[in-house]
Amino acid sequence: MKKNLLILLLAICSFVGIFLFNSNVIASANPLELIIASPGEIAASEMSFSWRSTKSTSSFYYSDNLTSNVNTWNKIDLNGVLDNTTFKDEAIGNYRFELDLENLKPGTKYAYQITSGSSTSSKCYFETAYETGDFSFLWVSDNHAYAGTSDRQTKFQTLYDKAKAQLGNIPLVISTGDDVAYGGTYNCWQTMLNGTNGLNFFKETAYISTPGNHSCYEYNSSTIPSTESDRFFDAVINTPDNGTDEGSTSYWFIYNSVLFISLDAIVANSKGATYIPMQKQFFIDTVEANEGKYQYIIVYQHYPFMNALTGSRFGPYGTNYGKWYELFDEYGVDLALSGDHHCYYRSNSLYNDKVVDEGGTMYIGAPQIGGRHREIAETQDADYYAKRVTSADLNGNSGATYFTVTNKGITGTLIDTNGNVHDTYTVKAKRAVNWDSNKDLIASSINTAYLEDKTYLCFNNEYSKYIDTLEVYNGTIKLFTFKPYETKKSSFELSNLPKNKAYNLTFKLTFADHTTKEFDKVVHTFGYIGEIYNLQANINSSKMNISWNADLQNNIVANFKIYKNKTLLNTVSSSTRSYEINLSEVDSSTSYTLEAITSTGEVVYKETVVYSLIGDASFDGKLDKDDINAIINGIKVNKQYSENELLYLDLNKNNIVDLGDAFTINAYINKKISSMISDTFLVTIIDINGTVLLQETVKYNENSSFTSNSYNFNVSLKNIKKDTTAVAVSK
Amino acid sequence: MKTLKYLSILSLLLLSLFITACKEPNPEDEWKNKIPDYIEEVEAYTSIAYEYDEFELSMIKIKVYYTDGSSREIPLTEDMLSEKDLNKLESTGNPRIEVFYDACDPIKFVLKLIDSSLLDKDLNKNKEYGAVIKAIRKDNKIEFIVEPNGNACAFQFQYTFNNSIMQVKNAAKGSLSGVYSIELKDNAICAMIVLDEAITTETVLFTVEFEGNFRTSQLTIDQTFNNICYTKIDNYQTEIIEKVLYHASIK
Repeated sequence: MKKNLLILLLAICSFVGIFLFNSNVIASANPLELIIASPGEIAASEMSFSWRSTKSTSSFYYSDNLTSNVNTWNKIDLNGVLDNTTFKDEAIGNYRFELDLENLKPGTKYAYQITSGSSTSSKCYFETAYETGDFSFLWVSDNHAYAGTSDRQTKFQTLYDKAKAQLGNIPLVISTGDDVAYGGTYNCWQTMLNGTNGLNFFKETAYISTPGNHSCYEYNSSTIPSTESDRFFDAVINTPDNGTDEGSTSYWFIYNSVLFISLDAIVANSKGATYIPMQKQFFIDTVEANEGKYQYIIVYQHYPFMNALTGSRFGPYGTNYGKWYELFDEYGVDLALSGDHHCYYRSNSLYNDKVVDEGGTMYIGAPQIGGRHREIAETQDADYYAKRVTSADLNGNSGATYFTVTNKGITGTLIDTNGNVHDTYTVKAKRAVNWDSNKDLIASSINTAYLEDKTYLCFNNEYSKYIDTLEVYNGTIKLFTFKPYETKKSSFELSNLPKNKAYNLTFKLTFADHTTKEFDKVVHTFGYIGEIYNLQANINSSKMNISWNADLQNNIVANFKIYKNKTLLNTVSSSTRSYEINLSEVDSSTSYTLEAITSTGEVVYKETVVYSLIGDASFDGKLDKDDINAIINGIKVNKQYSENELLYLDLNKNNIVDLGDAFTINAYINKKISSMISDTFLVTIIDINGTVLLQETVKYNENSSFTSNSYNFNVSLKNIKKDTTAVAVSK
Repeated sequence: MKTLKYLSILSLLLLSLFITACKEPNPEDEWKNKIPDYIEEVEAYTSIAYEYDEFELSMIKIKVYYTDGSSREIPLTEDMLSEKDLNKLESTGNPRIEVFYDACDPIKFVLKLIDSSLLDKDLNKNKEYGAVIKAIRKDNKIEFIVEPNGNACAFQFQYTFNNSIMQVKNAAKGSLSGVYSIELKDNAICAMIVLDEAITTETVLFTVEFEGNFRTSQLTIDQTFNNICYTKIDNYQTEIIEKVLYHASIK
């Protein structure tokens, strides 16, 4: 009996031993794991998440109030999708959860936490991108996370920490693939993301990758499936679902001023040459659809564009430069990043397959992280390579590159695990900042408003993200500094300004791209003076008649002052609405200024106009063929027109008065058009907090009334000749 | 009586001498007695391109070498060519003709007959230009024509010419309404035109009368002038047409 029991016990122990031995191969799914946050298509407002749980339901909590109790956070309940077929070593089977958050605030740090059953994740963080401005990100590749070793994860985390020490913050990590050694082996992903050897930085940053050959390998094999080769990768990382090359995991996203395009090189390679045209069309469609929304284009994929080992740019398998360089030239790709060769290279700036000083595409191949390094074997196209770093020179045989993106260019720095710098370079910007044209609009939207005896500066709150600093000067004395970008505010009280005073203040805007704009503006603390509008200067017989309209309120305006250029002509009563000067005392370049003055002599309103009859090149008060002939004669003698003259004569806005302008004027004379100015202008009504209440497009010189029942206001704007923002203040 | 006889004989002698002295020798007579040895092409005449509709056979000369060592150039005549070769001269091309003269071995050479007016056609065949401005001779006038690719509405350009060979006068605007300034300078024609409406088809903008030799006048666009054509866009605004061909006929 004892003998039998002993035999039974031995058998049980053997069975357990065998089971334990095999547990290295058959992974156990943890209750809640593989949590990754990845940027959404528009990273300023979208973030995607992926995680897995042994339970079928899960809750996602998130908030931008980082110190608040999680019970007060936004909560989303989800049902997972059972997945017990993708990974062969997942005997238990777990549920895959994917979540795409939208309408997030740009440039905002959020905390999130996930629960599933009785399990709760650590508190994690992500940051949304800004819509513009400087940012930094880390580029890594070929980590090959593997359960058999923790060395790779340790070095990966070290590289992240070294980069973060330089940058201060890393909101985004991009990988060019081979995140794990065997994509089909679940415990490789666990090793990458979980446990004591997992990468901690996933809890505080957004991570996104591209399929590599290893991340597509079948369970414990070096075989890539002929179909659905990305299924392992897709089962763990939630990438934007906007690739149009079917059957692949290509995608794009916009992060600050960069359009990132990830090409699925694994599917492209397995499907052969016939697939590339579709992938190229995806690239073309993506770039063209996003025109105007980016300043830089960064393309990345796993397989190398150029050969890091042989130093050749054309060649067989593994080098994709020949397939793509012409398209990259055509669309102005700034950086083309890749991995796979476990050895670093950086090309010169290349265009038309030639080395150029700047303006071309720079091709860079990443080193690996943790062992399996390769060394430079030879150099076939020496002229094309700017830098090559053999892996043995990298401490830890590991490297990563951090990038800093500004409106001037992208600076990349290759470091190793000691933080040693092995390469640094800057790619200059090829394009202007993507929202450059809006700067005048932004500046013109700044208004003053009065509410309960307080004076406010306010503007469209959609512009706060573009303005880093708004400084207000009275002469050389700085009165106020506001930080719209940082505070997310667009309404600022001009506190401590004495009452019943007027100031001619200078506003200095520093935009998020570090460019600046200055302008003067009359600001007063008298309260609402009424409306003064339609200031014009027109010829009437032998006189220049300066006229205006006014609906004055509260008896604040006592007089008007009229200036010719900067010379005071006269002071007239507040009931006056016009003033005449002899035509002989002015010319076609004269400007006319109207000031509204209080009884104490404070200027509460100031506007300057030039001669108002658009197209009157002969300066005779009427429009006829004489004006066409005047333009023709001006061309013959190469007449130089003043800035003021261009304002009413340069209709096609090319800074000269030419026959093109004459044609438009002629068309107006012949009554083919009712207005020579075809521009339309944006009228925005905001409240005192900068919230947009209404926005409409109106034609030049139109009078417009804006009514909103939902916001209970009625605003009348007259003679609109520029983009206008008006503040509706409740009474 | 005897004196009268002597005077009559003397007069007759003097008269015969006079008559003999007044009669000019016929140069052809000089050559008529010579024996042609061989003939040769004269490249100075065959290398020129001739307008086919202005070509005369006599414009081509060959050189005849005589047995006494002398030589001369003589114009071609119809009897020197076969009827087949004569027919070749009726149209443009590079006809190869065979010339026969006396008992000499015939020679062959190629002529160039062109139609320069074809150079004025299909100037924008590939539509690479936004507009073509062309100065074409028509009788005693030069027509300045615009051929838009799209639309065109305003023009400024200047052509120059050699005023010792050609003179211009009497500019007249075309049928389109607008504002015209056509200035005839010593050696230039300067046009600034603003039409009332944009045009999309080939149109004569204006004409100028000329005197002298148009063909050799060197009429050409003045590259030193700011030549511009404009196209109409929305709401009668305009843009400069980027690529414009300015052409002048040579015939």
